[in-house]
Amino acid sequence: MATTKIIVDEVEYNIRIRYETLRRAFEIYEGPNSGTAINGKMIRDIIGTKYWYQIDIEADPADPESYDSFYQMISSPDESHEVTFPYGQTTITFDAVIQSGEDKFMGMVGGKNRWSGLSITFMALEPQRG
Amino acid sequence: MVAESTLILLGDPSDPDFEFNGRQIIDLTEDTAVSISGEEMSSDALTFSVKCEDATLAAAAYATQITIVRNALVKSTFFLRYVEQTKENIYQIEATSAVGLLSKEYFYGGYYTGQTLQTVVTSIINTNGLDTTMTEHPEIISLLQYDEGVASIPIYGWIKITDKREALYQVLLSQGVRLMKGENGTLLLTGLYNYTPADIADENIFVGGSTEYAEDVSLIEVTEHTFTYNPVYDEPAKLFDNTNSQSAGTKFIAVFNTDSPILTTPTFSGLTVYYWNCNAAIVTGTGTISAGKSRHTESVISRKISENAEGRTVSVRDCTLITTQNSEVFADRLYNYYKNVVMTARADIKKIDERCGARVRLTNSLGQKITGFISKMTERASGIIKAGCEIISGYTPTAPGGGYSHAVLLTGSGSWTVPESVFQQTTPRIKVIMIGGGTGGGSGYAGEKGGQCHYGLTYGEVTGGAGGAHGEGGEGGKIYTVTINNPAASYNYSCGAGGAGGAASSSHSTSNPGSAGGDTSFGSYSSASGARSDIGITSFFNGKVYGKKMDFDTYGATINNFTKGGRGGFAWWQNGGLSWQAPEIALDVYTNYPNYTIYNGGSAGNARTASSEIPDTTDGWVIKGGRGGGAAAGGNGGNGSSALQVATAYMSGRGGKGADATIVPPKASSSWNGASYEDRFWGCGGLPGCGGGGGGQGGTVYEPAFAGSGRTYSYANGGDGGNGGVGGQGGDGCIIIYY
Repeated sequence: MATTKIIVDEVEYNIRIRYETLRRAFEIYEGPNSGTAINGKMIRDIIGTKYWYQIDIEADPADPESYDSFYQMISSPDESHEVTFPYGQTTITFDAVIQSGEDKFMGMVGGKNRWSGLSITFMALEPQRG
Repeated sequence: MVAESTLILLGDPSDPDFEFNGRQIIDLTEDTAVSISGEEMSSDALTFSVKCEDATLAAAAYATQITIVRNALVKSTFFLRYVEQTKENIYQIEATSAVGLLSKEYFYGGYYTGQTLQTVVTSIINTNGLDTTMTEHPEIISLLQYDEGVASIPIYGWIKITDKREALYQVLLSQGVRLMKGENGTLLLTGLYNYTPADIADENIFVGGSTEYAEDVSLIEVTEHTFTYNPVYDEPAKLFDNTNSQSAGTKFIAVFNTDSPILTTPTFSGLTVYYWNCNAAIVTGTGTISAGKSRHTESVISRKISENAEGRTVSVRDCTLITTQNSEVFADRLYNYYKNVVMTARADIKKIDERCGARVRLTNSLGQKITGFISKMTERASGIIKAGCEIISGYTPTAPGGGYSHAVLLTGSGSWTVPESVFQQTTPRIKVIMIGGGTGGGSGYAGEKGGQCHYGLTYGEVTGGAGGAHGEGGEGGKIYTVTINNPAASYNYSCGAGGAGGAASSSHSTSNPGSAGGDTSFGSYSSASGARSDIGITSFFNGKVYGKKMDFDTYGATINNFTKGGRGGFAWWQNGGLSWQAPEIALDVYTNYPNYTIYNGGSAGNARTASSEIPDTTDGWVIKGGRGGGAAAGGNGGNGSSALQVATAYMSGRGGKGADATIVPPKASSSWNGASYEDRFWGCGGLPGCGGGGGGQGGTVYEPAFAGSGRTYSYANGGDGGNGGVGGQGGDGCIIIYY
């Protein structure tokens, strides 16, 4: 498991990111004024760049409560959450939209429920650069 | 969301109440337009939505200034119309341009005689047209910029009571001036010029668009408005009356009941007046306002573009700032537009720095390279600004303003050289008004013969002979107006002489009319092609009236009253005795006006008793002398004859003859009565002849004194009336030239 920390809404959660599951993507976001010019060239209406992060989460067996808190937070009906992720050799913080999530009940161990297979996509609420 | 370089400022841009950046602006649409033909003036509009956590935004005041900034440059200035909260922390705001703001306010108009465009525009924006101390919109005034030569354009004509937007539109329309967005959010008053067009690259033109060929216009019709006031014909009318209302202690605006401007000082009765103009007044109190209304005449200037019977006629009728001074230039401007406009191209472009009114070159939807003016633009801001544009191509604009700025009066004959400045105009042009010589005045009417006074007739049953009336003033010369485009270098001209006045008349019921004046010619044109007008024609620049029918406004009502002949003297029985009415005097007001010479009626003849002749001053018996004749301008009335006795036969005295009117009225256009009136006589009809004096009544007889005395008696006739005087010669013709 990776040691990358996950900070959401300025709270650091003691949960684990499954190895090689942190993925990022970007989209150059265009406004309604995009189109095609009469000479065939695109006319771009660039508003900014939107970033996406996707991660698979596992609970720390020694701290399943932290996982539960994280789950409670990301499934809350809020418009967005401020998240911080690795970005290049530093980090990036933005307001992210979380639309859905799913995990699987893995039974009880040591009197505690175990959950596994949570995959979350963090989609930027608005373009970052523009 | 729009580009981060966009800022919207609400309030004073140097210290805004609210400031929104691109991240807070959800959407933004800006609609602007500039009528390339000048026939419309639209209100630009701004709509945008913003995120804002300050709820006081919803209470932002109407007309709060809104400034659009892009890349640190002010691009547009609008004024708030309303704010609507659409969601939590989301507000939609609508705003209008200065023009839209002005459409909500009244302007009480004005009548302009050459004030500059800047003066008039400032008055419209800052005042209500009455109170000149008002400064309603300093924020708009500070935005105005005048292109070279525009501020000083002279304005002539009338603006009726209307909203400020319409008033401003009329001013700009009449002069071919457009109001468009200038640099740094200013409002630029300018003409359209053949600037080197700015290229819109193909890579900035969206696929789509359309091209529409210009409609077929076959005729241009422009209505020219003239307002004249003549104190003789235009009698005072009640313009306002609140006498049935409670006295108003506070100031209010009394709107004149008129459909034309008041061009004379009104009479304010019972009201305290603070400000007034040609349409209304600011007053307090209860009372009335009266003044003569001006006459509004319209004439149509037309320009034919094509023979196509299906073509549309473009008419401009209601702009009362289109006058003699600018109607031709105005018609030319419209003609030039509709004759030359080829097509309207519509295209969406990626806006770089284009704006409405700009001259651009681009590829239209047919793949053709065209050059034209952007007449409409709808901007939708996002990361870039996409602007839907309408481009009018084919039009080569003419400079704003223009029209006639000089007038010259020609009299006599000679050659007139067209000034060099005429040939420096886009369309060299002069307007020539030929006025023929005025018709001579009609002769005065002769006085009436005096009557006989029989015993027992009472007042009302007897009179002396009535004085003759003055004649009719002569008609003005024929007036013919011609506009000469591309005139020759010079023209020969000759002004017709005024017609002779009518010959003296010996008839109490007939006046001899004057003769018509000669025609006035200018080159190959002649006043013979024109028509006479009772009110003549008013010179546009000095307000003087030429070529009108002779009336008495030139001299005052006094002349109307005293150019008639005097009535002859008469006597009547009353309360058992005789009473007398002396013969009337007459005045010569022509020779030395406003001083005058008095002419008196004649004296009564002596009476006779049974034994002697006595002065006719008592009520004694027996037989009376004739009464004196009435006076006329130029002579005293004749004396009545004394009563006669031949043996036992007695005859009362014959009435005195009324005086002949011998004063010859001065020729119109002479220097009589001073130079200040002299110009007004040119082409005017001749002055009327004076009336002759009425004959005196024949002497009366006390009939009971003759009963049984063996004497006989008879009644003498009244005196003859005097002849009416000759009419005055008409004024010589003249020529007015505008250039």
